Amino acid sequence: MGLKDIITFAFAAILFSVYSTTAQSINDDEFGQVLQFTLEHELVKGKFTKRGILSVHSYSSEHVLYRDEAPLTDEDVLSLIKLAEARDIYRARVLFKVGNKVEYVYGFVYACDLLHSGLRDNLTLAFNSHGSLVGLHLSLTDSSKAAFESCTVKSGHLSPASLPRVFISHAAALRPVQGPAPETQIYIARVEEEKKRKHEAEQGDNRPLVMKYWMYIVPVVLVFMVMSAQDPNAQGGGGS
Amino acid sequence: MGINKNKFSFCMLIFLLFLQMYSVLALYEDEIGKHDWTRQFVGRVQHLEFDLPAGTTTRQRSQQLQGGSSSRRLFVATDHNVLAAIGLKSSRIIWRHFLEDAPVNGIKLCDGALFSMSNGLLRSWSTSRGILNYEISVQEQLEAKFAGSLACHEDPDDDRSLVFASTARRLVAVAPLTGALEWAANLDAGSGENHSEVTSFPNPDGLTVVTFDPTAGKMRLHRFGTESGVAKRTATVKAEWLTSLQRCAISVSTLACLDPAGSIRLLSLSSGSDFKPLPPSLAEQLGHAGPWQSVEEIGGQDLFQLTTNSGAVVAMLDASLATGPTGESLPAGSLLRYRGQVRFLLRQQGDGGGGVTLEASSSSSLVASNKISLSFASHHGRVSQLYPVTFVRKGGSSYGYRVVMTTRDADLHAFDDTGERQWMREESLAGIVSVEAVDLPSADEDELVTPGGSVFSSFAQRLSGQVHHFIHVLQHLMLCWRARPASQADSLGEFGYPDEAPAPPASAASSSGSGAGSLIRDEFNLHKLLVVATKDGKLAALDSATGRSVWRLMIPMPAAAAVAEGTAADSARTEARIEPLADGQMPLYIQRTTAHFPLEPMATVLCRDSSTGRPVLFSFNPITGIGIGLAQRLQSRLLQALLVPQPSHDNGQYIRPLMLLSDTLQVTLYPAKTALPHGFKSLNLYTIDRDNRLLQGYRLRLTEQQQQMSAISTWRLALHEPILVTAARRPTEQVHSVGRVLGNRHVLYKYLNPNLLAVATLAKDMVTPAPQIGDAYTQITIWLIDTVSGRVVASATHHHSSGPVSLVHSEHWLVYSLWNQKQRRFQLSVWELFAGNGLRDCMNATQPIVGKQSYILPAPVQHLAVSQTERGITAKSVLLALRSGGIMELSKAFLDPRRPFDMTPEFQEEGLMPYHPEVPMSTQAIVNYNQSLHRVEGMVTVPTGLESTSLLFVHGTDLFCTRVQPSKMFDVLKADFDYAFIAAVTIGMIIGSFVTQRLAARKALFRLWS
Repeated sequence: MGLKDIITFAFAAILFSVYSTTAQSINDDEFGQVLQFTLEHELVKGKFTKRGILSVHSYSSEHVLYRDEAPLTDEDVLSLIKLAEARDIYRARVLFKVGNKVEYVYGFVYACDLLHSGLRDNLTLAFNSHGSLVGLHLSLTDSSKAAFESCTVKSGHLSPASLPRVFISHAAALRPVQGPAPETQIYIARVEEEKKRKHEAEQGDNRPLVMKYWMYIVPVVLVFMVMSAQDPNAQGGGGS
Repeated sequence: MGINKNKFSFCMLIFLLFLQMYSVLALYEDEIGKHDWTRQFVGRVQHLEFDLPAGTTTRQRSQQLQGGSSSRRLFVATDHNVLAAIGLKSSRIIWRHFLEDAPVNGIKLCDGALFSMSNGLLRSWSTSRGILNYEISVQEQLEAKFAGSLACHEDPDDDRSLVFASTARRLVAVAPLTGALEWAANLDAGSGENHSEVTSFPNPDGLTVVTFDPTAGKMRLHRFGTESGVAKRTATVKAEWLTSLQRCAISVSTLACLDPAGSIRLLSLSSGSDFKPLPPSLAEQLGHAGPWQSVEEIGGQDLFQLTTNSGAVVAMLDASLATGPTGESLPAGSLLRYRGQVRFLLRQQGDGGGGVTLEASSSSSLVASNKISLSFASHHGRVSQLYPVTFVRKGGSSYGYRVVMTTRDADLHAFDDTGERQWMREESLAGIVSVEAVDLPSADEDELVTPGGSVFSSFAQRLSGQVHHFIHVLQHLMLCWRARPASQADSLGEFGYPDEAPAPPASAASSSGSGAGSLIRDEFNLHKLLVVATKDGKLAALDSATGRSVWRLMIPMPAAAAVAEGTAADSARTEARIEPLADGQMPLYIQRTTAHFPLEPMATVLCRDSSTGRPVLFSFNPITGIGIGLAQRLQSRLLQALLVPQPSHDNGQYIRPLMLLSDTLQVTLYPAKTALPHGFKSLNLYTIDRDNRLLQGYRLRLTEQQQQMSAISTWRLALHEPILVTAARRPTEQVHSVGRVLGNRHVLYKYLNPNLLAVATLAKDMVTPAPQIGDAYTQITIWLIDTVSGRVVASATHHHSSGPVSLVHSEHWLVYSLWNQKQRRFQLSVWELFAGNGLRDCMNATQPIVGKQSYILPAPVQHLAVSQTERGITAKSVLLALRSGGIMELSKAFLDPRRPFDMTPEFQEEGLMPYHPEVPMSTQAIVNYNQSLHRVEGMVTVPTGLESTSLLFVHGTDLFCTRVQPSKMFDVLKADFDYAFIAAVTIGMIIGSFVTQRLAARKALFRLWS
């Protein structure tokens, strides 16, 4: 259960740290290189438009800052509602450069769920151990309300005016941890400890063998003596 | 002993019950092969030598041949890098050696010993036992890729023989008997470092060696005598147009090469300094003008066989053009070989199979010229190589011959000079790429009734089903009766090499009935058919109980008319073959099981056409091996193919449609007319793009009109690093319990996500400093990815590690093995995933808690697999295919991240073992005891009707099938269980209880009266 607690605590700590940091508070010199990624989203099928900027410290652990750059226009909200009505998905992608080529990774949520949650989402960026971006995962901040494919939006039910224009997003980074290795050191230490303990226990009782086990030896000797005393009679009886 | 049974019956009963719980852990000698079978193969034959040089006339040798005719054998080197001796009469493997992972460049018999050349090493083997006599490194400096060549110089006049072995840089001449180095010469191979090629050919006074550097386009020619390493002649020839020496053929005095346009160019080995094209006048004499597909040396004096699409020409090509080419036209698919004075011509029509004739003719009168027709089943395809051998008959007055040949499916056949087939080795089974287990048909009618139908329709359906079944049983009985005498005669065919009848015609299903006679499901469904697909495009079914091939079938090429780009396909028609998909897979899909009785079961294989690269689908009945319809070539490339989880009940066909996603995101179903199951809404799938290192998720769903399927890419991951292996949970896997009870009575819930994909990638290790010697370290990253949402669930990096990596994912855990470069040992790691805050859906779940632990594996491992049982109640075992040839069964309990360092009563109650860094290796855990399995390519586990038992099928160069019982046989009584005694005791106790009840009642009555 300890492990579970630790993980929950760590998760809470990550969330807290993301909350507490503001866009200006990070000093570039302290944390090394800052990577900036452009986040784009697809409100009209096949057309990605800019949504915000994600700033990541390449070799620090989980700090990712998200800055919403382009608040939604009325038109954007209408197209989002249209996506939701068609039970379609809302995709967002992150651009990055490989050599001279611009590559991208993307993730999705159901557009309808996003609308119902009031544009509150979590962005998780996955990196590999060299610090290259591997993937983007979108999820709702309040996942218990997600209905996925069964989520419905009745036409005219949602009005563009009632919807927020800015995404309220929490971003985090996920990096590979160190893989497990055979715990030979700890094991050998334990074995040594055990050996020492055994050795000490043995040293505490260094009486001769007979003195240590007289209570077992005496009955056996007694039995033998009784047996050997009876034997000549038995043999004699058999022989006659 | 005199135990009073009546007195202690109850105690004895308890005691005996305890005794039954222990099962036997060891294997008795008479149990070998009872529940398992092994078949050993060598692979596709690439080089073949008979135990005597062909066409020898020396008296001494002919006597030797007559005397030792029973032990005559042939030596083969194969694409599995196996060197083996096979009995020419028995077809058994006499000895077999697995050489290192480098192609065998050639084998030669020289002075009574067998020589092999591979990886720059010349080895001499004793022919009788296969013992290594000696090994010589031709080149001191090791290279990544060795080209090599081997030749034997035997002079009939003097007794001096020499073995010549050469790499592209150095030539050695070795005395065959002693292995003493006679002389060595350095060959100037040019700057092409590791890519230089070499070929050589003995000539009357020595040897000609040709090296070729493809990067510089330069060829060097060396002629050596037998006495010294000083070249008699060296010449440099420019050949920029040549891509590889594989497009050349060398003979005594001529080197013939094909240029990219397909015309022939000749080089005289004795005097030429440049390639000469064939003059047009002489080319006309050949009858064909080309373009030529290939050129082959066929065992004569400067005789070459030139092949085009439509036919072949045999020509004596002399580079000095003193003698013109004497062309002889041959039909397509013909093979011509010379053995001394004897000329063997094999003609085959069409796709081979049946229409094969062999003509042997000789200028000498010792061999009777004859023409024989050879027959073998059509599923072998064309003859691809012909190896004839001649020998002196008893009495020495006449010669006889044998032919050994390989067919397109890699099988090896031997025929004698009357045209009778002596044996056939199913070497195609050494190239299995995919396996699917099929349940045999049973009398279970429960599934005949369509759910949701009315009472009357169900009743009618059931009745008709029963009638069908009854008729089928009657037919089957009649067939058995009729086939009985014939099957007795057939039983002479020894195990594993059954005598083969011609393929059953597709129309008459009855002819296959005799073969399928014993194919009925047994009580516990332990008897199954293993349907396999080989890399040569062949399908076969193996009986899981005996290992015998039940049927074999070559995947037919789709009709050429179906191809849109007709011209492109036509030009390469002779080359077109069925081959595995780009990732080496050839997936098999069971679209309809045997449970729907009157309907035939249906399986489909997905492969591709080598000439166009277009995917090909072919359906067949997995029980009888009869094709259903024709093979279909798809017009677009496929991204993914997936079986729809539920069968469609439309029209009572019960076919699970195969959903095909093309590269233009078009979704089609196969078979095209199948409807989707009711209530089908959407389907998520993913693709792995190894070239671009991308993973991509797709969602398929029905459009508004409910007619068409549409696909959209939902997520995309860029892994940046080469993908080594991937593993996903088996879709049919059953999980019995969702949690683990801890010692303190709390429950740890498993993170059971059926959509997880485990991926292993390889990258450069930037953290660990490079070692002083050798290459820099690499690192392995393991990713766990949710394939529906595209979320990285967990990832971990192992520094200074490299492959081979093998991954296994089952239930909530992942086990993998890798090589630790720094510690120089194999390592086995386990991850277990537990749900953090109860059970959540896959889209928004919090990260699971991942417990990890690693162990040292004291033996190299090639593959991992996990046992599968029907309900998942039985504990799991991880099966490790060791490089040493053993398959080790390791209980999952040894691989548990919760194994503690310090034992507490709570852990003890949970049944955990204290942590030990090394995985225990016991010889008792080797399920294949002494039957070592080499070059294991894959392991397949199949659940059976018995919860305790799962079938294990191992394929590679050898095949092996056994039963695995991770928790021992807890659900079956032993064969020697004393039923009579138990029954007697039970009845006795029942009677006893009645009597005592009566007595007690009487006593109570008496007490009341008194």
